[in-house]
Amino acid sequence: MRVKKSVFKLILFTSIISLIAFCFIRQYATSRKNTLIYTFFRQSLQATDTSYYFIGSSRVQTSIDPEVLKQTLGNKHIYNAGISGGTLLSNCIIARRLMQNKSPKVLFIELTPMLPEVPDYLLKHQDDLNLEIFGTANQLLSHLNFLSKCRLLLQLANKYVTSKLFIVDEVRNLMRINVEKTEGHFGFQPISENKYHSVTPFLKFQDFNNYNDKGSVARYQQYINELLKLGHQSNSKIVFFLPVTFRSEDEKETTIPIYKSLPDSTKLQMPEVLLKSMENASYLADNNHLNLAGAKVYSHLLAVQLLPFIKKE
Amino acid sequence: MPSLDLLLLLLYLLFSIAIVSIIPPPHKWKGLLSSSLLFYYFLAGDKIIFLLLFSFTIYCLGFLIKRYPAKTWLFISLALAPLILIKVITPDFHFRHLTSVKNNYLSETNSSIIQVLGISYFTFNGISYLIDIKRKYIQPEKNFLLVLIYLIYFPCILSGPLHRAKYLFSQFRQISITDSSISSGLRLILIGLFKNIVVGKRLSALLQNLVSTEISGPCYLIAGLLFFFYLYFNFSSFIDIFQGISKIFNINLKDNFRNRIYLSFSRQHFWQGWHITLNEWFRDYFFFNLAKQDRKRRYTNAILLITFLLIALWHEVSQIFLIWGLMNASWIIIEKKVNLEALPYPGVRRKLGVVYHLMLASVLALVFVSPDLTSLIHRVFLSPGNFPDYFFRNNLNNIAIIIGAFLLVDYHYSKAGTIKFDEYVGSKPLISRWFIYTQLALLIIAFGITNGVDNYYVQF
Repeated sequence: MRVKKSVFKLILFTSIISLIAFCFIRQYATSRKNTLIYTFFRQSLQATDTSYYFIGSSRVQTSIDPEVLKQTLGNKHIYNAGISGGTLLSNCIIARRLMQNKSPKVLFIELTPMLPEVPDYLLKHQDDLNLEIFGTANQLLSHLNFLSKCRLLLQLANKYVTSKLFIVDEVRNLMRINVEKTEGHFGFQPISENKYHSVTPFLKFQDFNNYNDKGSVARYQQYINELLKLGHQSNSKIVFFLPVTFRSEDEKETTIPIYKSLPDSTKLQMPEVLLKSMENASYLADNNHLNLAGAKVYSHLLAVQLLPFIKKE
Repeated sequence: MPSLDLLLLLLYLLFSIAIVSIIPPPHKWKGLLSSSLLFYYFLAGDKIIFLLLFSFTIYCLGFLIKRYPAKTWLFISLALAPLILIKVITPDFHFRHLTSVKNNYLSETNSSIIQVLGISYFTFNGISYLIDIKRKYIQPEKNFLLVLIYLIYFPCILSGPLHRAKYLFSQFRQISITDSSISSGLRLILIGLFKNIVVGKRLSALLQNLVSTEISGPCYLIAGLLFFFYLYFNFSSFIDIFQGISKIFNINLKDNFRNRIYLSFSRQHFWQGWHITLNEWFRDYFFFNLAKQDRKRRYTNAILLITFLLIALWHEVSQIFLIWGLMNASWIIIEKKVNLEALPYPGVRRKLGVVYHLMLASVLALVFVSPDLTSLIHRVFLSPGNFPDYFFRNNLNNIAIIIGAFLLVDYHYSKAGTIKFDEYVGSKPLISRWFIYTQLALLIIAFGITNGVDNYYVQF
């Protein structure tokens, strides 16, 4: 086979593309150490007081206002650690990193489907933040057989490699597109608009009776147990909660039965009065997120449910 | 939506190249078979045993059919009934991800054999092999492994293109890797990646954003138009990638799409260049069979209708697909009755034809972007016309990238004419070739939505 020429051409081509990409990243990459997420982790890992973290997806970002909670509950160590595109796996990764600080803490974790995905934003920052993405995934998947585990770890590896190879964020920086949104990937992100005018996305009290898929409970039990075990080992209390809005029925089918199966001590209660009070289309930013008005109301209502878990200072 | 990880594709390619390189020439195809089996095993686990069993059944049936040709259909029905049954009893709304977030949950049950292995294409190839034996186009192959690789050849089984056994057997026996085959293959993979990751995925994101707004009335047609283009870029891109992978081993897979299919000027013109190998399959093994009985050509339209309904129901046994099949057949029958070709001013007719086809194709595509028929009717006819003004503002960057990328692909295809992209680029001078490679690669890493190659048709 005469393929030496091809190998040479491929190496040359890859080198050219890599060189251009490397120069580009050096020139236009955001300085990671100035980002909100970097500051958040640095401070959280040094904290000595009991801290309270809300970990989840963009729904947590837009719905839980830490300032409202701080004022209502009289505790200033309440943080919103929601991340855009967050999955249960990324929640676990963030939780695990926070658990490295042995000071007491309560981690409120949003129950979402266990997608084999981690937000690009987290992958981009994983080296600076020392996030153990593969370690966490490996531990969570320990109950799976070798083949299933390999399959899922390969998906993660693929995501990791592509996040390093692709330079979409740097191009955005170059073109000055969404620069103001760069920090929007992490923490509380209020949205003032109301672009959706239906109450369909809201979680309803009757949904707790409508979804009873035992299959998802069995599948997720292992992940939940792993997380509770980790929390126990690191002086952390884990409390799960459901988002107040859902984009799809599939998601409800998966998460509601899991939520129902959890003991009361490990979940935030969602009483009928809370859900009824939230069911208002003017509280929605879009079909999946609360807007600022919704976030204010929800945070006030949530504060009541948080009383058993958060102590006044 | 099923997605093939880029890393997995790369591993498959490297592993196949390595194993094929070390095996001596007459047996190189066995290397490709090994890599196909290994990757199936990786994706589907123990379920691969069913595929091997079905393959062996088809292999044995080949000899039985040669001996008892009159019982061909009985044998085929018995052998493939379980596959058809699986397909029918496990319906899914294939376009559901566009209307809701169909999550790919992290669990052991992730790899359904139907979704991963694309049983449709396996079945089509199996039937084709057996009928060709009955028609005496080929002799039953004595080597089971050769039949096996024909049935489960890794890139093809996922979503085609479909081939007759005779076409592939001879190519499998002559597998080789050369400088020119690597160059040609990589060119096809490059354009495939560009179409999928830059255009297709961005179109999908745009479409999901659009349908999640409160758009209604005639404006909803835009969603149909986006879906039409999305389906083309998605489907044709991984055919390019699979053709490219095969090309590296000097296996020429058939073309499945005409270049610039979106510029079709009638539905008949469109179907001549869309999913070509599937249409040829239905034409050769179904339509012609029925048409032969209709010597006076009285029922041609009825046979056409049945063929389209069958194509639709094969995709999925559902009301939505039934309507899609019915609408497609009716459209072609009406076009034949009107005889568009006979209209005057061919130049103008063709240009207006493109607009006419795109508009009606968008209407047809709406069937897929709506969760059900009732909500479609409600959204288009019963709700007041509404187009959210923030949509363009919020999606301006995405729209600009899609239009730019589309124009680039269209420019290359317009220059290529009827030849394949790899031949078109290969005919250019060195500098131009490298300019195209660098341009596409940089655009992929700069504007691509990462993860993997969305593979829509693997679901069928």
